[in-house]
Amino acid sequence: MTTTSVTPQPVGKSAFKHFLADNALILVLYGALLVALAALSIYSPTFRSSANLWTLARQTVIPGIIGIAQTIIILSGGIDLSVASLVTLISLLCAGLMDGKPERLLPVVLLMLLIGLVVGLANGLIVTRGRVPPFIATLGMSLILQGAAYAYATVPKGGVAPGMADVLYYGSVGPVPLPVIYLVVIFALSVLLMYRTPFGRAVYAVGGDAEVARRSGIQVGRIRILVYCLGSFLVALAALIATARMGIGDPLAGNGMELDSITAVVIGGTSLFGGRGNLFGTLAGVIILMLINNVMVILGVSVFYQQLIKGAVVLLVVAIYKQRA
Amino acid sequence: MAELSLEMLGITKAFPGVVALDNVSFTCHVGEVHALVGENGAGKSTLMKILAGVYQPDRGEILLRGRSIRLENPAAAQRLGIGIIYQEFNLLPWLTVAENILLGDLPRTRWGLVNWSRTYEEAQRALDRLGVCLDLKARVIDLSVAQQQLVEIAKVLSLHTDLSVIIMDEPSAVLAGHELEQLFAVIRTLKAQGVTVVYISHRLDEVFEIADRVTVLRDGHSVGTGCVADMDKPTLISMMVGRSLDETFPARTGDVGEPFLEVRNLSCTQLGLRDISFTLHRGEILGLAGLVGAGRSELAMSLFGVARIDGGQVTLDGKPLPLGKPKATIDMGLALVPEKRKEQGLVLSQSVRNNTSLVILDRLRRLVLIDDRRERELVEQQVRDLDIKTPNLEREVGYLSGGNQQKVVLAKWLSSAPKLIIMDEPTRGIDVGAKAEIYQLMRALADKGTSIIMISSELPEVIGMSDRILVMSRGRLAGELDRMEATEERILTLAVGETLVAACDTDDGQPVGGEVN
Repeated sequence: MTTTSVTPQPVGKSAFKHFLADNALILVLYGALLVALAALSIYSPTFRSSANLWTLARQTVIPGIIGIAQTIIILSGGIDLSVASLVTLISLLCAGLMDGKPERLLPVVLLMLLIGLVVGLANGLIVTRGRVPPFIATLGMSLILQGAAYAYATVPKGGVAPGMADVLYYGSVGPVPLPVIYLVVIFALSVLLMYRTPFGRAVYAVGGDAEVARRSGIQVGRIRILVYCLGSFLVALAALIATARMGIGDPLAGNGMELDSITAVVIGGTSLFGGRGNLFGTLAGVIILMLINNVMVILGVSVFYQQLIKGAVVLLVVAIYKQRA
Repeated sequence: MAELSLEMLGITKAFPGVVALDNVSFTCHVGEVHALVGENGAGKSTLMKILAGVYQPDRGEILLRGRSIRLENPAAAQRLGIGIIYQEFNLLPWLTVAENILLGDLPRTRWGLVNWSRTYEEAQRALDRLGVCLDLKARVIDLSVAQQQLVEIAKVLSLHTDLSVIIMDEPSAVLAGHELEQLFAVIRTLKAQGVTVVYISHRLDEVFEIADRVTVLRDGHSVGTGCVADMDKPTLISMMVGRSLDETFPARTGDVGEPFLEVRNLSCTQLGLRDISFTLHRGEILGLAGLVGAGRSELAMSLFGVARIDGGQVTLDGKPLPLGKPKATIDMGLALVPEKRKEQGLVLSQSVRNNTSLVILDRLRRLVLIDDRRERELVEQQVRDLDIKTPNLEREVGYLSGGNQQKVVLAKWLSSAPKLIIMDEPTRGIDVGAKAEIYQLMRALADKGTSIIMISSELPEVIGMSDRILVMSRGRLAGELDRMEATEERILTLAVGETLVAACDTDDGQPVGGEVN
């Protein structure tokens, strides 16, 4: 039916160039990360010690998992402000209910994961059926969970069963900390989920344009609910790891995690409007935030300056993205 | 010899990798309606954006009434009395008509508060100059698209105390029937006041009706300028495409098949549809004509399952069609190519590949993962078949031209191998060449047994493409015409029918229930 037939430009140099152009942001981000790592390693013997590097990796796990959850939710056009309260609630409930008894380990852990799913389901239903905007829905949920947590305990409570700390946080295989392995596995599965399954594509479509998605036969409401369930499930997992790390229920366990996770997503180049962005960027964002913390601690800089610098980094990075676009 | 208003001489503008305009000259007289035509990508938008101060030319000179001017930004163009009406309106929907008209510069009292009496006075003056009547206190969101366009024009008038040039970019794309007449009346009023109107349009009939002269652009060059009176349509088309284009529509080769879609007494109060019954056969192209607001898109939406219906029965191939669920409808072999491709057809932030495969993700799945190779092959096939111009499959569709975006929407739905395609204004805002390709494609699909419902506001297209034509009016079917007996007059008579009274009412600025879309 056509007079001329143009095939999409094939392989070779141009395809490579397009790959570079399409992923410029992520490549630059990782480039900056490598430069920072190299520079820090050269100037600080403390930093480059393998103990410090593995600690750094271990510390990346909890914000990493929450960052993945937040990214998927934001890509779908939502946002989750309830992650911090959920972490706190699970930390207190888990340690409180387990109270150091090994026979309670499995049932309590399963119960906590179930709570995560239920909270996600509630968020999803409030957003879809209740038509409450995600920001407000999860803000309300955050207050509810926080209130529930403090009704249960306002001071450190209970303790984890022996073994949980090692399995979830302190153990390692050779030099590699176990939680780092968990993060890598979760990350890899999430990448497959987001890029290679109909569900992942649907999430991008819903976040990009919900009306178009609906008209393309995607069950938008169902996708949104599933996204919140998956997100809160991952957050519950991260909360269990956080509890294992502390060994007790900590009323401050989740403090600041909602904003930190959103910060990491933003540094990673994902649009807060949804539909555009990716998990690799978020991972870089999480690591960058961790590095800032780590360096500040090594340099003995006060925690207030840490926040100041984090804030400046976010503004700088986003301003640079906007210039490019 | 008419007085010269605007002269753009030897304008050249290059973007990285493409020369958008190459030594283009464009001259207008005072009080002239000058049409600017050309295929998509011919350089019309670039030329107009230079005039609006959005882009700076690399070379060339612009004169206004004989004086050389520089347009370094949109504010400069505004100061000099050059106004532009873009296809997308720049209105704030929740504010009133008067506020929108004077938005840039609301009159103030000496206390710095808004001077409302002067606001209404000045807004009224702008509307009076256009010779139209609108409720100044109505919120813009409550107006019809045609009325919003009038607000937009009034806004330009009020911004430029001495308006000398007004550019209208595809102003008729959102209008139909009687609304177009009103726009033309406004254009004639402006013209009588000595304003130069630059009219950009794909619809050549309009050019012949409203324009005094026409300039044709092709691939960044000016092909020529001439008086409309000395030209005819074939000449103009051959100037635009650089070859003479067969304007006849591809003819049907076989007969239509047995009944396929049966609609019985379909009603939907929410969308204003009443008691609609018709039959569609296999391999038939059914044209759906009517004025804007007659319920054509609404009928498409309710068949496709986007909207819920109150009563009636729809069967596809003898099986009841589940209404209200797009997914189920798609699974039964329906496709809806929507009117607004950007809002309803494409996820603009996603790639050509992801958009094309969006409807068939489940079919591409092997176990849990999408079969990457099959997806790529399938999308490549569509890109080849439809001649979609994109550097690669991963290109975000937001970066493609309008015609290519429309082809991606088609690719997306064709990839689902539908048995019935509903196409809502499939050629709107598309250049002549791409239009012909889409006609060929529709006919080829129909010949292979696919049934097509085509909604169109362009009567020659409806008459040329359809095997049978249904005319809608105010949510009802007003009549059915055979291909042989259809003429523009007959269709219009049916379409206008009872709405004639309502159409007159809107001229008084009173929004009429059911007419507002």
